[in-house]
Amino acid sequence: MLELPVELHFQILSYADETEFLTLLQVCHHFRNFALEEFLGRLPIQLWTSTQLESFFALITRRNDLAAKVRTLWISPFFDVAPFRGYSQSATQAGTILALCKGLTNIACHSKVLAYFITNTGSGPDWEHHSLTNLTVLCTSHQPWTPNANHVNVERLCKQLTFMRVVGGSDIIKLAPFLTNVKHLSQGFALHPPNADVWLYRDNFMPVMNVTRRLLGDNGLFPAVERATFTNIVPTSPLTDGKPFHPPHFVDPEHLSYTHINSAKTKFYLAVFPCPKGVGERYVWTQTVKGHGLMNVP
Amino acid sequence: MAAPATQQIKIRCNDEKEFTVDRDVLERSVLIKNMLEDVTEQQDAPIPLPNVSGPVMAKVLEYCTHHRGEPLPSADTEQSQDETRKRTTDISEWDQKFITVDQEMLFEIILAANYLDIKSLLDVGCKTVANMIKGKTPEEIRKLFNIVNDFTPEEEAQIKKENEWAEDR
Repeated sequence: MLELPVELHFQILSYADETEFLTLLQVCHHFRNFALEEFLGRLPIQLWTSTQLESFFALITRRNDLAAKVRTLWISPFFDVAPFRGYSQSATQAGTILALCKGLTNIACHSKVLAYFITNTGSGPDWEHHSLTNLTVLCTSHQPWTPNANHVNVERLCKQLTFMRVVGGSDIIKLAPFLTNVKHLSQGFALHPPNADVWLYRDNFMPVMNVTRRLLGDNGLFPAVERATFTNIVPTSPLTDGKPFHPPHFVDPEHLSYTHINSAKTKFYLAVFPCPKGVGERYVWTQTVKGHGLMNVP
Repeated sequence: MAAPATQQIKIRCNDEKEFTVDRDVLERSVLIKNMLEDVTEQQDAPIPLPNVSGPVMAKVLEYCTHHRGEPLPSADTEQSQDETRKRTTDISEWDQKFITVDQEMLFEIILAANYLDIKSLLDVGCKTVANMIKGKTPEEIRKLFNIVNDFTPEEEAQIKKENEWAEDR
């Protein structure tokens, strides 16, 4: 098989399932290289433990050529990622990975990591993350994402964004001046401390309704928004119309019923997704990257 | 009125084996189709195919004959197939039976399909190899394709560390 031309190896691997990736990495040097080249661009890469972060950091810093292949990347917040001042080792490693992966199109990371990435990557003509259009920021209430309007990369990045999801503490309304081209605005209500995985927070609808009212009430706020999606875990008790919002058992979000709040006077399409307990933000993100799930309901 | 006779084309393989084949069957190969379009005059000399042997060409022709008349993929459909093909390694029943050959012949067919530019046959071959890999351990894959484990113990340790991010996905 190794005698086949290189392009045929890639063609064969293009049919290999992502579950085979780890196996292919261990066969031999040739398979390892082909698998890395083929899968790094295809996989939604997810780093949600410190070990995974360090391992991927080691790979990407040793093999800079592979960094350009990475398209989608989730980096969970870690306990030590977000000291009140300065950056932890995890934050710098995560930010460095983001800076090295210049072909990224879709990322999810903690606000602190994002801040490190923005200030430690090339700026001006050296800004190379031209394809980065989808951003999910994971925040806590005490560490919201507050973009530094004076940094040139903030403007560059925000102008590129067409999808923006904020999970947790940030007041999405405050981001409005930056997000002039965002078409799909999304917020997940999670106040959970950002550790290994972020869970969709069990909350009431007040935050959703407050943001909704603002969005509907001021069309100029996010001029390009065509869709707004809010996720929330709905309590099992019946809501105002007397009907339970979500099935009492776990259901793939892809198949969940959802409520539209359509406003005749706006172009917004608002969907509030009740998410069952146990559905994490990482799961929602992965499904979105794969083209289905909560964010892709037509 | 009788239907116009199908043009017959001669091809010659690298082992001098010759085949005379209906033009529409041969035109499953984009390479041969382009060659034929470039030739303005009737040619009696066989088209030389220096990269394909007789036995492999016989298999390729069996495939092309079965699929004759089916639309050839256009650039647009190729692109959309590229987007969707990764989701499926399904192979039709006939193709599956056709491609049930020994490993040497399988790789020869893949090489021939690549050289002759027969996209659908190349896909069937590549999907078959991908299916052979499915569910196997690294050692089983090595054994299946006669591959030597060329990692040194030091490399094994480094690779193990570099693979940790991909574990437990």
